[in-house]
Amino acid sequence: MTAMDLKEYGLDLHCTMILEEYRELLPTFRKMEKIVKKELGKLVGKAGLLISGLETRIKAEDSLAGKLELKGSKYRTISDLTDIVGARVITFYSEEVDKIASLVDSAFEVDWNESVDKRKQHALDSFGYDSLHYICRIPKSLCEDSSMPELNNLRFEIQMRTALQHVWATINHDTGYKSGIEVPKEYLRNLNRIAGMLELADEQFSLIRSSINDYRRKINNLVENGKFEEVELDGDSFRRYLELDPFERLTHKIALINQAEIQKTSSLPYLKVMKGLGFRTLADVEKLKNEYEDDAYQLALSQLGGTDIDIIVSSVALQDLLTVYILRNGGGEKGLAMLYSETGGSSPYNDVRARQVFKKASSLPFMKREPEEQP
Amino acid sequence: MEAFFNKEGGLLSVKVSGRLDTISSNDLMAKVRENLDDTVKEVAVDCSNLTYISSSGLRVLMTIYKKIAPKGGALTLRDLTPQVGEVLNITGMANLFNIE
Repeated sequence: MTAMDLKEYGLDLHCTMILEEYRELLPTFRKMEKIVKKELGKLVGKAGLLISGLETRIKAEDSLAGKLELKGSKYRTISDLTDIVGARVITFYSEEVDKIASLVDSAFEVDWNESVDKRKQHALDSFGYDSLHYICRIPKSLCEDSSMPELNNLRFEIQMRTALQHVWATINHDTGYKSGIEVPKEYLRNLNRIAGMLELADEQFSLIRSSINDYRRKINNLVENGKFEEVELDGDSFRRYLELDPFERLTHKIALINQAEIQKTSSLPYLKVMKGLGFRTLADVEKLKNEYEDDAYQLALSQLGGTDIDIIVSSVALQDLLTVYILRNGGGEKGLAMLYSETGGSSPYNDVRARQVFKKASSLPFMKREPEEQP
Repeated sequence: MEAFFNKEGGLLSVKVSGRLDTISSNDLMAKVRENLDDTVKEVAVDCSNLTYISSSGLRVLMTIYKKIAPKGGALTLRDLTPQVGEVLNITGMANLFNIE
C-alpha cells in the first residue's frame, strides 16, 4: 500500500507515513486489544473486584488523522503513539483504582516514563477530576506471536478511574474542550465546581463503605466472643449470628423425633418478626433460645410425634421458638397469624394455621405457666 | 394421584389431586423434572383436591423450591386443605412457600 492509496486527509508526508503504518499494523492492534481485554477481565475477576465497566477500543483512522493533523510532528513513528489501543477500567470506589493499577503492574510491562497519575496533577486552582493512566506493553510471558513481531513492542494505554471520574471526563469531553484552547472562565469555574463535588462524593462513598466494613468487623468480633448484649439485632449481626448455627441443637432434637432428614433453609426471614416483638440485641435472641428451647421441643413433639413425617427444614427450630414465645407472652392466635404473615406473606390461610397451632399448643404444659417478662 | 401440568411463559401451573404418597410422589417427581426447565420462574400448585401429602411429597415441593428460589422465583401453593397445611406447618415449610 502506498500513501496514494490512503484516504485523503490533507496530511503532510510524515503524517501520511504514520497513518500508513497504522493501517499495516491494524491486525496487531486488534490482537493487542483482544489480549488486553481478556487479561484485564481475568485480573478483575480473580481479585473479586466489583467494577462498573471494562472498555477497550482501537483508535479510529479518522481520529488518528485528526490527532496527526494537530500535533503530527511530535511523533516519529506509529510506536510513539501510545493510545492506538486503549482500555478503560471503571471502578465504583476510588481506592479500587489503585488496586486495579497494582494488578495492571503485575500483568503488563508498565512504561513508567509515560504513565501519569492525572489524579495528582491538579494544582489548587486548576480544574479536573481525572484518572490514572498507565502506558503498557504486552510482555512476552503473556503472549508472543512470531507473525506479529510488534505485538510486544507497541504500547497501549490503560485508563483507570472511578465511575464519577468517568462521568466528569465524558461530559468534559462532550463539551469539546481540548487543553491549550482558550475557554471562557465561567465554563472553567463550573467544571471546577463539579469536579470538586464529584471528588467529595467519591471520598464519601469510600468512607461509607469503610465504615460499614468496620462495623461488620466489629460485629464479627463481638459475635465470635459471645458478647451478644453489645450487638444490636440487624441484618448483618443476625446473619453473622446464624453462621454460628445457634439453633442446631434444637433442630437436631426435633429431627430425632422421627429420624427426619433436615433440609437447610435460612432463618433470616424471622428477623423481622423478632424486631417486631421488640428484640433489640443478639442477647435477646440467645435468651429466646436458652429459655424456650424445651418448650419449643415440646411443641414440635406434639406436632410431629405420631406422624411418619421424616423431613423438616432447619428454620423450623426458630419458628417453634417464636411460636412458643408468642403464646407464652399472650400473643394468642393473632400473634401467630402475625408471625406467619411476616415470614410467609399475608394470606387468609395464616388465620387457619394460627387456629390449628393454637388449639394444639393449648394443652401443652408451657401454656399453663405464668406469662414471662418480654426482653 | 393425578397431576396436570401447564406451562405458560415462565409460569408452571400444576394441579395435583388425591393422595401424594411415596409411590405417587415418585411419579410426580419424574413429571416435575420433565417440566421444570430453566425457563420456569414460578410454580403454582393447585392443592384444592390434594387430600394427603407424605414426606416424599414434601421432598418434591422442596426440590421445586430449591430449583427456583435461588433465581428469585416463587413456589405458590393454592387452596390447601387443613391436613396438608398442618403438615407444611409442622415441618417449617409453610414459611418458605407462598400460600394462597
